[in-house]
Amino acid sequence: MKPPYRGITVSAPVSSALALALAFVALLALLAPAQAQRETIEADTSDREIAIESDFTGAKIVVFGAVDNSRQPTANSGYYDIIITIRGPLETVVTRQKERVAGIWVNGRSEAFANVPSFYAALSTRPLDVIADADFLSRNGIRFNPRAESADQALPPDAFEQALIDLKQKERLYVVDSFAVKFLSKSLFRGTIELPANVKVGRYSTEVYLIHDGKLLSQHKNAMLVHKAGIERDLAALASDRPWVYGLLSVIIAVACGLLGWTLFSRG
Amino acid sequence: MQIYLPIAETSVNIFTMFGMGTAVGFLSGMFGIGGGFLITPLLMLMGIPTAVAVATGANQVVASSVSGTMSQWRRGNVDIKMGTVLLAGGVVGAFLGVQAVRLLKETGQIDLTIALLYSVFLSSIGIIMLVESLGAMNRARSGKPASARRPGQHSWVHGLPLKLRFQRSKLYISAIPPFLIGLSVGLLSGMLGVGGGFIMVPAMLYILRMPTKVVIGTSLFQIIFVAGLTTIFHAAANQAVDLILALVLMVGGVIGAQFGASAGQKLRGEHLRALLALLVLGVCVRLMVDLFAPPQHPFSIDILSAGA
Repeated sequence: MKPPYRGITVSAPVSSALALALAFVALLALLAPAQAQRETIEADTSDREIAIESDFTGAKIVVFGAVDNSRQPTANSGYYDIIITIRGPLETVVTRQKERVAGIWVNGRSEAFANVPSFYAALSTRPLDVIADADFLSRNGIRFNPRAESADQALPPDAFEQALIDLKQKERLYVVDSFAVKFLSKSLFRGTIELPANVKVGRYSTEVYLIHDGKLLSQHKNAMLVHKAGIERDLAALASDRPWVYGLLSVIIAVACGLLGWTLFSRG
Repeated sequence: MQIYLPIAETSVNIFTMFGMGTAVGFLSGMFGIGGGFLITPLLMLMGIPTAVAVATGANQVVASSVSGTMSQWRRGNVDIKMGTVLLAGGVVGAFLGVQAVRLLKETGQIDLTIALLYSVFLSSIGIIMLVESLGAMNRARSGKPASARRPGQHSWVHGLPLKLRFQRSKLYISAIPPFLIGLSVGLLSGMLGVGGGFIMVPAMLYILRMPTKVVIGTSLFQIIFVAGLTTIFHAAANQAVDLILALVLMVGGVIGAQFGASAGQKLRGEHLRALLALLVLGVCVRLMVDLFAPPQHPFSIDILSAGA
């Protein structure tokens, strides 16, 4: 008995075209993950929180991360560039120029800079200028550019700005380390930075940029908190919350210390 | 061994700071000066921010002056009455000095004016003291009486009214000159942020003609109050006193002051004055170098405030 078949009957040429189309879709599906999924990075810092106690002499921070869908075959292929920037809490700084008046050095002209990061570090796989052009670096805020926001960011810094950069660099509060970031495998990378003992407390932001051929492929942001702890925190809090009490306490301690020193070490 | 300072917000070597405190305390106990003019630049040299160096230095001066005063007081070398008169003038002077700074700041170049006045002042005091003490030493060697005080010799100082008897200093003089000396030293302190012991001491020696040993004790006595007020004022206005740093300096300072006091006791008055003269001239030379030598960097930076 013939089954009640009501299927669509197709002619031979149509059916072969359909098979071809199906095969093409299958091929696309196979190729797609490699083709459409772009590289992304994920990163983190070794410490999310840095507590400053009496033995604090600075801190070593490791920034590490991975490139998802990395296309480079090995760690040494140099296909990608990584730039890591770390920025401390903002402050207002004044730069003064010393001038000679009748043989004597005095403070002359000055320029104030608002919202300058108290700490700034840029770590990278290669020198910044080689990785990308100046326009790219200033557009993404990678350069340490202490200047008014209205100023033309592309212009080279003037003498006051350069002095600020130099002096910050001397205090190790402005660091550029061109070969501090290394790939450990085709996707894993890490960079190390030293925070000196004179860092300001507050929120530090870390940004990681993945770059290929001078173009930004992916970016990742993190935050880190630097704060005082223990007796360091208690003293700083007392000094700012109750300055008169703190001052009086300092004098009382000094007087007590003087009397104690006299009784213990009195000679003659 | 490094220790983190919560107010200065940096880390320093505890032994270096202790050593600095001891050395300055020694000089303080020996000469009757506070030593703020020595400790402040030393701290700045070690990377301590200026405001913290000034305020914390003042706090350490309190401790070493207490230590030094006690040991001088034990020997009967503190003229509390004279110290009080000097202090009264000093408080008025310090207040006027702070006002003067405000006025001068508006005209600009205050730093220059002060530094110049200061070095002229210091070099003349230093040279006069050195010449006088060397002369006294010569006279002592040739057998003549070596006394800087010439009792019976009267100057304008002795003709003024409001006479008081200062027993410890063996003086019967008007209260006006010590008050005025206190006032002018206080004026300088208010302007320069230093205690002014090294100006006060020569003034007591040469204008008031007090005996060298009493000068040291009395100077230290009044410095306790000047430095104490300075500390409280700096803590209140700038939150700049670092107690951890102060404590390390103080421990060194009070020990140093004791050794300094007994070392000073063994020296003759004119030798002591000659050494102080050299110290004053040394400070003066340092100031001159700062003024005239080309700076290490043609610019300087200063943090005004934390940004938004």
